[in-house]
Formats: sequence, C-alpha cells, structure tokens
Amino acid sequence: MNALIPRPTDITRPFWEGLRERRILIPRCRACGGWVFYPRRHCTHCAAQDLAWTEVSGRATLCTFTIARVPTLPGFAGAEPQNLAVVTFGEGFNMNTALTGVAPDAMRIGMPLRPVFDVLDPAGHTRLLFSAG
Amino acid sequence: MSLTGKAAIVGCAQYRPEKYATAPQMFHLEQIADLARLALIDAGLTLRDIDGLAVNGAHFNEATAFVPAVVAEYLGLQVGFAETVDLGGTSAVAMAWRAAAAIQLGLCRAVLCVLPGRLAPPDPDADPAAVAAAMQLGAHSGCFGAPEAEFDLPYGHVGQNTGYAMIAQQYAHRYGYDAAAMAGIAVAQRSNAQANPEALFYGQPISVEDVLNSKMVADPLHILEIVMPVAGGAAFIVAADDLARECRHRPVLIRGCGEQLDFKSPSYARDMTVTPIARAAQRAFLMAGMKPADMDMAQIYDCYTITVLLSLEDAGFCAKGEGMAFVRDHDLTWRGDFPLNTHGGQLSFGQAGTAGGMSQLIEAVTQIRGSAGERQLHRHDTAFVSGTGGVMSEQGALILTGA
Repeated sequence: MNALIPRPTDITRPFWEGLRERRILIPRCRACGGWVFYPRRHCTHCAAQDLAWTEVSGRATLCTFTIARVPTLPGFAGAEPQNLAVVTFGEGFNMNTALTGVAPDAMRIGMPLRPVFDVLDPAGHTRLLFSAG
Repeated sequence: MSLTGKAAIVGCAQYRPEKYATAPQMFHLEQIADLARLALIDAGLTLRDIDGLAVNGAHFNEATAFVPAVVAEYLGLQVGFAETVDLGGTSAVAMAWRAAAAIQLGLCRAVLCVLPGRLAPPDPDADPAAVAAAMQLGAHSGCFGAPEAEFDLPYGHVGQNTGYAMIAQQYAHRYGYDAAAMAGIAVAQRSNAQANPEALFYGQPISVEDVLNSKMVADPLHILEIVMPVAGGAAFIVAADDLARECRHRPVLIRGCGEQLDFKSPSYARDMTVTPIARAAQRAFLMAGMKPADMDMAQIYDCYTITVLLSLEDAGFCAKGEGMAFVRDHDLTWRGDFPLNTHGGQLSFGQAGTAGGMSQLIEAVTQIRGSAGERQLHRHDTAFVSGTGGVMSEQGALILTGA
C-alpha cells in the first residue's frame, strides 16, 4: 500500500473524482445547510442523511501549520521540510493538507490561499494542496 | 453520580523505563503477571482479593478480542468487573475512575489496572516489512475506510509531533509564544528527574539553551520538548475503602474525575487551543468539591511541553493565554512553589507507551504516601493528575487525596 495514494470509499469517491477534473466538491446538508468535511454518511450538524455534492472555489485561509523537519513518512523523504497545514475554507470547514510554493518562513496564519491540484501519478490520482494567493 | 471517596489506590508497580534496544522482550501476559504480583505485594493483598480487571484493549499483543478473559484466565482471576480501556495516554486515568465507579456500585472490591509497555518477542512467522510499515503509522490508522488514512496520509499528516506542533503554532498566533518559557518546562522536569533514580534521564540535567539548541523536529517543537518512547509498563490496584484500610500504605482516595473526548485530529476541533481537559478538569474539581489552588501538586500528562502549557491553562491553574507567564513566574520543580511532574514527567522519566500516563498517577500516589525520597514534597495530601491521548484528542483528570 502506498499511503500517499488515497483509497476512496463509495461515499468519498466523488470528492477524489472531482479533484481529477480540477473541481472541489464538498458535501453540503440539504436539511440544515451545513458543510461536511471530510465526506461521510451523515451531516455532523443535524444528523440528516441528505447531503448534496456542492462545488466550492477552494479559497481558504491558513488556520495553522508546521514545518516537519523530519520526514513524517518514508514517501516524503527528500521533499523535506514538509509544509504541513490546516486550512479553513471560506465556507468554514477545515482540511488537513500541505502548502506548495511557499517558503517555510513565509507561512503566516491567516494568509489567503488558493487551491493547487496536485497530480500524484500517471493514473491521475490527485490531491488538493494550497499555495499563497 | 459522584465518586464519594469510597475507593482508593492501594498498590502500584512500575517497570523502570528502558530503551527498547536493551529492555527485555516479554509477552504482554507475562508483563501483566509480573506487574500484578508487584502491585499486590506493594498493597499487601493477594491474588484472591482481586475481583476486577482493567487492561488495554488496543495493541494487546496476544489477543485482538476477548482481552479481559484472556488476561483473567492467565492470571487465575475470577472477576465481577472486566474492562478494556482504549484511550491512549489517558488510559490510566480512565481506568482509575472506572474502577472506583465499579467499586462504588458494588460490582467488585479490588480492581487490577494494568498496562504492559515492553515489546513482545517478535512473531517468527510475521512479515518484517509489514511489521515495519505498521510501525511507521504509529497511532494513525491505515485501514481502508479510515478517514485519517484517506484524508491525512496523502499529505504527510501522520503521528503526533506535527499535530501538537500545529496546535502550538495556533496558540502562538493567538496568545504569543515564549520559546524559552516553554523550554523551561522541560528543564524543570529534567531537574526533577535528577532526584529520581528510576528516571530515564537521571544524571543528565539540561539547560534552557540545551533545549533551544536541540534539533527542531516540527516547528516550534524541539526534540527536547518531545517525549522519548521507551519500554516499560505499570499497574495499580484500586480497592474499596474498608479493604484499603487493611493495606500497607496510606490509601489514596479517588475523589473526583472527568473525561472528555472531542475528536481524533485537532484539525476538526472547534478551537484547537481549548483542549478537552477544560471540561474534564472542571468536572473533576466540582465532584471533589475542590479547586486548583487546593492541589499540593500537579502531575500533568506531558507528551510535549505544549501539552503541559495548555493543560495548566485549561484545567484552571492559570487563565487562558497566561500560561507562558505562569511557567516563568513559578518554580515548577519539587523544591518550588508549584510542584509539577515531580518524577521528571514523561519527558524525563520516559514514556512507556500508554503506561507512560500511569507514571503520573503512580507519582501522585508515591508523593501522597510520603515515600518519594529525595524529591518528597512537604505538603502532599492532594494531587491533580491528568491524562492525554492522541493529539489532545481525549483527556482525563483525577483529584486524589490522602486518607
């Protein structure tokens, strides 16, 4: 198993398929309007199971970060330091991710971010990174 | 329901922390038999007195299910209360109040709580590559369908260091950060370890400069602010108050408890700078009818310096955002005005897996008994003990008092 390649489930697959098409699809509750990330079976705000995949822009701000000076997994050796980040989407939910194209000493909590679609392999597996802007 | 001091900690045992490379390898059942025997001797009880059992559920080496039955059978116990606890570093604290509650309900009279922490002999038929791969993920699940496997690992979010570091960064953004004050926490605990021959870092004092010059692992955490995993293991026995009075040592009453679990990854916390210990400690103090200022000592779970800082604030020993000033203004050693982690903390005693959290509880018991030797506190009747599992995911608090 390569930990870097996400393994979608039936419920989460539209999120990862969306990234391949450079679209960010997030479940939103039809009952209460709440956003749900990561994707799951129910709305964590009201427990309804009536979620709709909803496209968002990916505009976000940096919630927090660290610079991992020791590779956190063997697959990240050589790429260090890793700019690990938690980002807050404009819609209010948080996501674990990493920043790319930002110098470690340029990371600032609250800085505006834009999404970067990072293709992981020839098969087109794509993850969602962020960069300044 | 409240704990009413009807149960007390009466016996303890703890392996001396050792580096994995040089520690003996033992099956978990063998370690449990060892630790149980030592705790019974310490209490002055016999195996026949034990009628309750709390043991780790996760990572049990010789069973993936039916763990209490396997352990009870191996030890030769018949129990009216059997519990697995899967709360990481707060497992010891969680075991203590579960045992006290079971005793108060009349389900049992003496509960063995035990956490093995030495490596087991390797399975001769296991695939070494698979074992190594599993070790890399640590407390992270790599299981198919696990949210953290799918949404953390592809970005390199794994393990504890980076999660705690990100909490510290968020704290720094909100309230400011004094790296020297944070280093001071590790230094004070290392100073305490110099009065504890059992500590891993006995004989190795450090300075603030040593901490600040040590390797940066994940900003802002230096390696000397991060706990060292070691081989070890620990046990304690909780008994009904009438039985406790017949034991060898001063009974240590469990007077208050609280527990709070809010998430697995702090990324999904409503506010990652307000930690679950806030509610856990509030409940524990309320139950005991006591307040932070009534505590003669604080034995606070310390996987990282930031854990200590946030616990001091959120448990109410100082106001939110004033933790840096608090640790600057107080002497945190056993000699000082705010004795904290008097055994050295896990940062200097060593962290024997989930048994590491038991070191804080056992130190509180040792101090309350008055048997802490060189580091014995003059005032030693009340203790606050905390536990922390995951990345500030789950925390527990106990209020202990001497009978």
